[in-house]
Amino acid sequence: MPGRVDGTGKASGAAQYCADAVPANHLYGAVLTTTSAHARVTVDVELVRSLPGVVAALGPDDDPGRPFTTNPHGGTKDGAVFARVGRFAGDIVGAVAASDRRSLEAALAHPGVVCEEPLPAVRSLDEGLAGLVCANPRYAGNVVASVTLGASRATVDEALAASPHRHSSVARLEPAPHGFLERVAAGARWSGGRCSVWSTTQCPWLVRRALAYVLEIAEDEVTMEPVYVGGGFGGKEEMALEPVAALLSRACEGQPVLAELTREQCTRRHRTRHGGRIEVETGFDDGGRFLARFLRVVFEAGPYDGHSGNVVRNALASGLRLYPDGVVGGSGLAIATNRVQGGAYRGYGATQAGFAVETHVDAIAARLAIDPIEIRRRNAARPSMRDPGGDGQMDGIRALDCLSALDERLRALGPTSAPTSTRYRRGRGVAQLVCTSAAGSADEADEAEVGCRFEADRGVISVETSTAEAGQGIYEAIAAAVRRALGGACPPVEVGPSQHGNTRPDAGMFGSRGANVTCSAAMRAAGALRDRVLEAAASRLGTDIAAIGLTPDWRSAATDDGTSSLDTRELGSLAASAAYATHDVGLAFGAQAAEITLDMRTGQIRVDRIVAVHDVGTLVAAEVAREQVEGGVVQAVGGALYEHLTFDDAGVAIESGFLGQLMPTLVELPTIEVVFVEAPDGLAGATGAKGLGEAPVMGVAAAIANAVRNATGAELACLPLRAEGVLAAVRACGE
Amino acid sequence: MGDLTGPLARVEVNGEWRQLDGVPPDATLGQVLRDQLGQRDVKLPCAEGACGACTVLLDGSAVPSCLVYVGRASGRRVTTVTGLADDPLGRAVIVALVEHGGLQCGYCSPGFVCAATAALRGLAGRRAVDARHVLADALAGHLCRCTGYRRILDAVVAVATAEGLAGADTCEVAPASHSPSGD
Repeated sequence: MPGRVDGTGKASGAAQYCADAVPANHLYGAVLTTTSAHARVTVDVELVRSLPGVVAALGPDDDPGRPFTTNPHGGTKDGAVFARVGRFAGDIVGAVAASDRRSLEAALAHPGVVCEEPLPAVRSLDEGLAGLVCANPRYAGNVVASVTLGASRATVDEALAASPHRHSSVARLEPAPHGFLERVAAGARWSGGRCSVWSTTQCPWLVRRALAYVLEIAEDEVTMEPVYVGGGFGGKEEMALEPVAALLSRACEGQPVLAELTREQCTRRHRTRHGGRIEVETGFDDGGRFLARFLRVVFEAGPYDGHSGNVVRNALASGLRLYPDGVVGGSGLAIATNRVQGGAYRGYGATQAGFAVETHVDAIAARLAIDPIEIRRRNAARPSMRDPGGDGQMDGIRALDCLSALDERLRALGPTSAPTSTRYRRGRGVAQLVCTSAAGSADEADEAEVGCRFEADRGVISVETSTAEAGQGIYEAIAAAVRRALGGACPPVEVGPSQHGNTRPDAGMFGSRGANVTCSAAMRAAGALRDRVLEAAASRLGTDIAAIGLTPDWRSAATDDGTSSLDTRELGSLAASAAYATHDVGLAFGAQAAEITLDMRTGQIRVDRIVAVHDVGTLVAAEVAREQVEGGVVQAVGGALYEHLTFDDAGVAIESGFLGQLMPTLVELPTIEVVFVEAPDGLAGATGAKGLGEAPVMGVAAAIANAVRNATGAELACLPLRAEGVLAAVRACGE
Repeated sequence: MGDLTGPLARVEVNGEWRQLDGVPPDATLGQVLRDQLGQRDVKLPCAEGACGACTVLLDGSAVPSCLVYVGRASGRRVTTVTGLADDPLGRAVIVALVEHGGLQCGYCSPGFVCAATAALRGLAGRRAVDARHVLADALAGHLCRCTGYRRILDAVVAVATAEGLAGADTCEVAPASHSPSGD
């Protein structure tokens, strides 16, 4: 049947995820966590070990003593597997393995296991900035990371002062959990000094390395078992429960252990999209040309770094890249608090920056009575402009093409229809976006290796990769890349994890890199495999490789003159692999529009339509690409309207699951139109593809807020756009 | 509360009677299906009835297995997505989901397949229904975070149409009336 290569297994329930694949005789594991924002901790592991059904209990004394970063790409080594000081409510201070789930739950609920001696806590971003209380002694003044990009503040201030007009705004952003359905989990089993690991991570190859570091064993002593990932969205980019499961299993004489977070823990204590605020100040002339702009990003990191420094940097870079002309610069801070940690989240700071900058731009457009698309055209990034987010030039970008495509589509749609009741208002808003792929940097190339095998007896090409299939469709994209490399005429392609423990280099699923880096390696590997098959056939037939061809199904090979042929099953199973590395895949711009209906009585927004225009370079797998955009847009509507995590006065997260954090359901579905701007630009590897995993979520919130502005004049500066806030803003502007 | 024993300690799972001896009756059906009976196709993302991914059929009705005590299932017929692969309508839903791209990470798919199959059966014999609307209602409690809602609904409506469970002319209406109306 048509559809993605992993489709049938998933739809029929046969696909195995982490918790499904751990051997059935596993012990049940869970973490012991703190309940207060900041506390010195003791764990009575002897008490736990005495409880019925408990097989192992671990506490801070069992920590391997190798400080590590949960960010597998590299970051500050500021964490322990089991903390002695819990630095947010939910910090991991121990772990339990039991023979059955009921015993485990009883042990976790047993009083007196975790004793907390409270410490002064940083309970908000403002308290973190004030610096009167220290969230983590590692970070003086609670500054986890400080970043500057582009022109200095003084230089920008000078240009702002010289500008005919100035506008400033502040966007306030609440954190939000990722909401992936599959809970964070890890399984482990030791045998003969080797550790087999089942993991929900998006980055198995990197986590393998990070885990080996923590356990002080060689990388090849860790085997990452092949599993699917039940959604990640950045929240599973880090090493999480893998060390916990490995240590529990080791304490249980190697028995398999499955350690899982509860849904409450996934919501309250795992990771969030960073909250905080972004200040934007722009100087501009009468024609709406931007002369100077400064961005100040302040995100709440939580007590540990993780991705926070990089997220702040990407927010800043994205915000500057949207309109790079003039004198532009910015500064960013990641501030330590004793609340749940911010993490990688689809968009990686660009969603927040997009909301701040793109609502700001519409405010300027409104002030000057310039059409929102026109003001963006006048200031958009153009090829060969200096890149304010990096060192080079902005080559191969198509911001103007995306704006033109959006304009064309909106003109074709005509004006939004008027509501029939005065209770409602309709509006349309637009926003630009720019996605920076995380693939590579000037200092370090991003490399992927893919293996291809022609299984002649089955007549299929099987492809193996170490990246994670977390729903983004990378397996189907790899299959499409292989078919494309082989000119479309080839045997059926199967894609799966490396059968040797995810040992082929591939950083994994993040940063909109797969369609470019992994798929480019797949194309090369497919070409190498065809050469390998032709070589083997030529050798067998005693002829030259140039004088031989394969049938489309590769079942037989024959000389061009037709004098001799062979059944490829005679060649046995043939394999080839290839790698691809890049420092830069280029910037992917896009433009999105939202049409909304606003209930003037309640402030509730209904999103009626989203038009999403994206520069994709060359499409690798068109349907998968559309699915990415559609899915990202719906997710972004939820992020724009209501997804959130809030805290009580003690700094403890309030929402405890899907019912509290809120996510879109099927009945809130807008009409989604997807437009791809296709143009290979020469930067984007063998596939020519720019990433599409993150871009779809980046412009939606700003487009919705701008639609409300166009309908009512109200300025919305807080994300999510909760009904009560929208109503207050609408009333504040006299409506 | 005593553990299940004797004739009460039986449940039919995908056509096979399984013993539940020693299982506490207040354990949830979902946990017992996974932990005791090895049905790893039943996913348990939330354990509070908020996501629908754990949905199975209990005597043909879609239920969230995380909210049903296993004692309630004693002596009854449970069908998971694996069982539906052998059911013509269930199979049609699975095929349609794949063909329409109605899945990404796939973690919600087993629940969607079970709920959709039950909802499609519920359409049989009803006349003049807006199938898309009815099916959207039936699936509204299921979360797909990835989120392929439109394609999932398109797939299920396509099955309704192909199986003659709804008039084709009633299947194109978008479920817009659930949100605040501007009209």
